[in-house]
Amino acid sequence: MKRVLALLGAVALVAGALALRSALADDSADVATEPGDEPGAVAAPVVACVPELETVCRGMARIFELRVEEPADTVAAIDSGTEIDAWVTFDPWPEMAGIESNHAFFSDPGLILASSPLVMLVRNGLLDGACADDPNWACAVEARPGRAAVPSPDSAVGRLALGWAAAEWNDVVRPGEPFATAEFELPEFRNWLDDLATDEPDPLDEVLVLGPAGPFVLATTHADVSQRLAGSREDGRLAEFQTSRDASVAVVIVGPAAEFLASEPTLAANFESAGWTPSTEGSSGLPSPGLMFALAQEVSS
Amino acid sequence: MKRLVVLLLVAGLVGCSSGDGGEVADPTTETTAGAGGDPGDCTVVDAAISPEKIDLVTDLAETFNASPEARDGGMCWFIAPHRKSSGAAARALYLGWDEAAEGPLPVLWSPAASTWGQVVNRRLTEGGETPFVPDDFERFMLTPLVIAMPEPMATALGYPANPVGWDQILELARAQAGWADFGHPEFGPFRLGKTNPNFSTSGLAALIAQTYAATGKTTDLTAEDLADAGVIQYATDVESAVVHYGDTTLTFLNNLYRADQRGNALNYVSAVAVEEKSVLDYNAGNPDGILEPGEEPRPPRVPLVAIYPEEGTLFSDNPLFVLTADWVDEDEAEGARRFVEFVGRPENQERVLEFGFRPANPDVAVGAPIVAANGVDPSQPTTLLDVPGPEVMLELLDRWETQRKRARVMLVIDVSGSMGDPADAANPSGPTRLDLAKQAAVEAIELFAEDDEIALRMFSNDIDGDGLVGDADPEGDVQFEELVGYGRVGDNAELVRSRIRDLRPLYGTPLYGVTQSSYDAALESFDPTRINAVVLLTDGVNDDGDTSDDRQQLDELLANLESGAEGQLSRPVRVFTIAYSADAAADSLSRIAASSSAASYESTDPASILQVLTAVISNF
Repeated sequence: MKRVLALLGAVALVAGALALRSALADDSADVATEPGDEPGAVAAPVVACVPELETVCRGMARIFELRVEEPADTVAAIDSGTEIDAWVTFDPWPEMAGIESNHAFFSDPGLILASSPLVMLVRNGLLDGACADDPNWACAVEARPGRAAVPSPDSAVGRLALGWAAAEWNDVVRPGEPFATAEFELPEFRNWLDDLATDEPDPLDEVLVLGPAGPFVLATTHADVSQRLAGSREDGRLAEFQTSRDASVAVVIVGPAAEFLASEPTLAANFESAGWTPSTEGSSGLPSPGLMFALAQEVSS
Repeated sequence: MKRLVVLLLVAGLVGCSSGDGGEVADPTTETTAGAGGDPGDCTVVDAAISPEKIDLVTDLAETFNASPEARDGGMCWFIAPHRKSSGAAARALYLGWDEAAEGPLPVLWSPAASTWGQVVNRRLTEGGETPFVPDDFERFMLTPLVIAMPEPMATALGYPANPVGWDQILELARAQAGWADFGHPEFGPFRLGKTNPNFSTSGLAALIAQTYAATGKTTDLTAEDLADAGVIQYATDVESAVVHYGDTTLTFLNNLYRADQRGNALNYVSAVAVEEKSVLDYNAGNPDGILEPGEEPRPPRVPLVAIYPEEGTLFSDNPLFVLTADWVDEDEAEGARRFVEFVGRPENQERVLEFGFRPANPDVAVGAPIVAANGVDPSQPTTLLDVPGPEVMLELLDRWETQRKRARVMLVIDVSGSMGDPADAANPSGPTRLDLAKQAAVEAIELFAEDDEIALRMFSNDIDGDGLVGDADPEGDVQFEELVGYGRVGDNAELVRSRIRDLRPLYGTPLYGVTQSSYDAALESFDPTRINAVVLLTDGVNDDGDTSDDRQQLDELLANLESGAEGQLSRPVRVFTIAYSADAAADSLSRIAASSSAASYESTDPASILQVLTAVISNF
């Protein structure tokens, strides 16, 4: 019942926001409604956005309250009754959040807005032989234990990157074999996981700021590379690879206000300028949401 | 353990992992206003800034304050930087900031390393308070911890072709014949410069790095690692080569520079754990990184080479924390955020290079002066060490107390008549200078380890009380009295305290003669396994009843100290001086300390004497 009321409330908020939006369009006004603004005729819908997409979210954040936060914070907020009218995150985080909380948060799967390939960045000259020419997450971690990194699985992209890397390890080391939680007990997998650095929320930032003292190998999205590595002092010092396991991350927006927000006319352009390709396809090349959730649990334990 | 607790309380340093750019974690550091100008009606954003970057931040604040970025509609902001050492600021933040003593409560805090933020939050949490140092922050600039070595010595080790790290430092420390075991007898014994990790972030970073090297790890240092017999022996052996400790790396660099100018650079210290920035300053002829008016930097004859330890190192990352404390309102926080954004801009980040730091903004290239020609390598370091957790850090510091090199120290206290003057001229009935010095000295004994050895002397004219001083005394003027001979602190601390409490002001200040005789006595019983030192506290100028030979006395004293401190076979006894009150001969005392390759301290306000004594004892 509580949830139904919450949804009805959200619909009312969206309707109010639409009314405000219409009024603003009529006045050609450039006004943002922020928390703490004078209460007016309408309340603004609340949108949660993962930090990796902050730029895009801020670009569309003209008539709602924006919360830029890690997925766990959004999940905790919803669990504690905070109204979130839309969540801009990566597919399949809504499903993983549901698994974590033992209940589904959003009734529909949401809308896919854009995608970007998951890529491996390798500092020049630090992988040898076949691994240098055609790197994968098995040989790279073996060659550079502790210096090959995925973002922390608490981060939105980190959990997906961890799933991707682990699945690729299985592809390479155990070709044709299934990969599920039972494989977590394999000694060779445990060693690999121990050697994979998963502590840093943003290994690319470490690379950019610390140079060769940062990770030698890392996972991120092509969009991230195009935005942050290009033009930096580390540009040209790392090579970008799409490894044997093609994987991509898709941006999804879920929640009662999803459709309204996704209809923003400038949204596609915002994504493109942030390095993302507009798309309607979900994330690909990743293990199941349940397995990625379990992997994250394994790392944190 | 008592020593550690006291040091932690006094210095506020618990566990910071990075170097400090020569920052003095000096509790006596005054909070001084930075950017000048009139804030007018603008919101003032007070910023506590660590000393090594105060000039740069002040400059940037002035630019910001005059810029459109400091204005928005009817609003405007005025950034006011205040000099505050990292440890002192951290302590003030978690103990409760007293604005009368510490200056304005900061909205923006930039210590030398972000680990200070963890320290403050941990202490607040332990005290049941809400942490207010944000986890999410921007870095201002970076500098890695390096082992600085005179170029000929680095070359002798084959650096850079052969990687060098803490393992080589250990080998050198263990070498019975010093550099001779490495084919270079002309370099004499191996001498290591490291600061006290309870006071100096560089010292703590070096301790962490050497401990990781002992374990062969680069991450996840544990308490079990620290208890390993091999790790303990490694640490003890490295520490055995230490010249002395101290609160700042600048002591080593200043002394090395002076030795260099005398052509003796290779005989003072063989390696010093400092920040990369300090190597650049040194090689530019500006060892303390501060150019006084009229000072002209002269590059040293023997430059330093920055060795990036093979086993890995740590960075000093100079965070810009916009505090979320209850005294910070949203308007102030907005001003701070604007300033943080401003200093991160490429044009402002390029300025950090001028100061020898690496820009935090990755869009700004690391360039001159961080180039090979200046003794540093911008492509290094390649291995970064993980910061241990707070519990491991405390354990590390605790163990260091048992592993560090032991000291043999003679305390020499002035009991001249002027020590009976009121400590505060405005309060004639208040405590005298001697009262405060006695109280501080009694407390400071606690800071020595039980295995350290101390002796106590008092000095003045006419100690024998015959009413005759100087040449007028046919039996010879008695200028000092040895109140307690050398002995383990654990055995004679109470006796020393008791004798200190008994001190009374007497007559004149035979400064030079007593310094010479105290030095001679320390030299006579020199112990090569210990740091040998004299700590001289005086509030006056040389006054032995005959002013005609003062200059000659001083010259002879300086020459003796200098010749004793240098040379391959030297038995260095360091004379640390404390100029107590504004009347003390600070310049002469500074020269005395420099001649023995030690450091001079000033306590112009007698009320700060405990803090100064604490800093002095950090050398041991």
